[in-house]
Amino acid sequence: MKRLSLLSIGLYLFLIVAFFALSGELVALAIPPAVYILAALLQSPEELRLQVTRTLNTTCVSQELPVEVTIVIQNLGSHLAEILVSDMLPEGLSLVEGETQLGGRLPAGETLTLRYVVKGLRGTYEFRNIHVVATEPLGLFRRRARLEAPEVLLVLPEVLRLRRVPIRPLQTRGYAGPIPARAGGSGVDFFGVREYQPGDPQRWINWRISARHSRSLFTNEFEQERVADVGLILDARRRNDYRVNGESLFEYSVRATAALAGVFLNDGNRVTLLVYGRGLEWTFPGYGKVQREQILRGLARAKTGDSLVFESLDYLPTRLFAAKSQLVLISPLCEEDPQMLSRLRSRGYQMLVVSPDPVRFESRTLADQELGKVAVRLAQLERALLLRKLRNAGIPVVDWDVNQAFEQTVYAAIGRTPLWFRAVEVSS
Amino acid sequence: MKWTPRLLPYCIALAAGTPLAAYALSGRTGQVLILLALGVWWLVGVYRKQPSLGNLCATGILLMVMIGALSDLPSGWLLVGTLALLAAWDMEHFYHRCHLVARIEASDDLERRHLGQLALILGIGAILAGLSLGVHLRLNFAVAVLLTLLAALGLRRLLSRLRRQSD
Repeated sequence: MKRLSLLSIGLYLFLIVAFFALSGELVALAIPPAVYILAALLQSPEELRLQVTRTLNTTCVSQELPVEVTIVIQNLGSHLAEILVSDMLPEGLSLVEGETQLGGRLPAGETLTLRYVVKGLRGTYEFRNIHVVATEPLGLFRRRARLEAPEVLLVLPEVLRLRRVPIRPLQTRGYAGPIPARAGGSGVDFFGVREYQPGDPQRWINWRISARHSRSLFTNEFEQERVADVGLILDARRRNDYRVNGESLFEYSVRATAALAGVFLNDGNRVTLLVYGRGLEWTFPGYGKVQREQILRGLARAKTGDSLVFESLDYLPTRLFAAKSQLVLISPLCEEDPQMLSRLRSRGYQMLVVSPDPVRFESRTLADQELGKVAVRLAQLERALLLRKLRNAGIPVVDWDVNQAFEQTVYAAIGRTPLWFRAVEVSS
Repeated sequence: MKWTPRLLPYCIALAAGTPLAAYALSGRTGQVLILLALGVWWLVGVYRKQPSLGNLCATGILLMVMIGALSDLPSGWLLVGTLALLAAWDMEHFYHRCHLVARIEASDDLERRHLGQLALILGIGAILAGLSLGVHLRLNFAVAVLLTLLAALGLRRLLSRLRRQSD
């Protein structure tokens, strides 16, 4: 029961009994509570006129790094004897330092500052309203207000360490880079031999072949090395998100995507990101550190979701990727995916699949049960068949057991195979 | 916050103790025991941080004060009891309100101002109540009923308006 109601009922009771009993003493005893209510009434807060500003020391931060939130409330109205300011933390953020509530006095024209530090896992966090309750000193009358102070915090994903991922798309771009361009010219790796042309460096002349022909000279050609277009496709279909003990396999996919984006951009490639699942969230192609930031922001916003249209990979919009470029799909994969991936390969895209293993991810909880062991074995067989289908179609697959380091898995799968072989098939 | 938790048990003791003393002086053991139980119960509620228990005990003591006034117990004792009751009830809620908030800026200053305000209100209440105890008016039953109705209606209107404003 509210205090005011309780006090009012007590006062009524005193007065009614006093008048019916014709007791002046009871009337006198009712005076202190009446004065109490009257004093509270005279000081009850007027319409709240508050100005609120929320500032974050950064709006974009790496995972688990602290962010300081400062809320300043200025009183543009009359004196407030008691004020309670409370801010709601977006779900997923945890408080590291300070408090999200603050009480105190707020005289007219003065400010109250609430400061706290939060940290969180990858994601987008929207700070919304701030709740304010103002009361008079006795706490009987109060006014509430919900002040808008929106701000968005992006927590970028953890970027796993990765040195280099060898790729070999059919088409490269015009700028020099580390990717073999399937065209002769200046480079490091031997490409072929052609007839000598004036202007060719003398040290490139292949004397052994030239010695076999009396009238012509031959020079070595090297494979040109260029940058390429790389399209990263992150599978965000909810059906492919597995959750065990509050941990999500999708988070591993995101980390892998961030690592791959970093390594491809470091090599000077033009990289684009498509988050496929809830809808299409596309990051425009670009180069360098700015693009890295854009992709990390895109990954910070990535969420799994359901969509009837994007339930399968059939509606993957290939127009978003340069023709004959390198596509990297990061997905735990499902049964019907290999058909679409084979189709993409037949259209000239060079494919690479990085697949966090959902069976090993989930088997941690089932390992103790006898029936669970059988189920895990069956699921592993099913997955092995799925991956074999892809490999047979000439699509390299990095089968990533998320308990292992990503870098180690990537190099074990595609790091050691020769380039000419890598373009055709990769065995893990 | 130093003073409120220190003063609160004394106020509760005074709130229950003065009507208890008045009842004890007139030799009514039953009521003495009831008041003692209410006082102890309230103190337990304070230590357990249960203000609802305080509400219940304060209501009980108030009813005992009312019965005491109707039973011609000494008004001075009852007035002191009412004032102490109001102080204890207010302080308990203030203490609870402050404890619900994670951090209070300048809490000592806030407490000092609150206690000052409360003392002033209780002082005015005590003076007015003391003065009115000395005033004797002769009213017949019809006038008393009329006054009661007027007071009740007036209070009802006032409180409903205040509640609307407060919401």
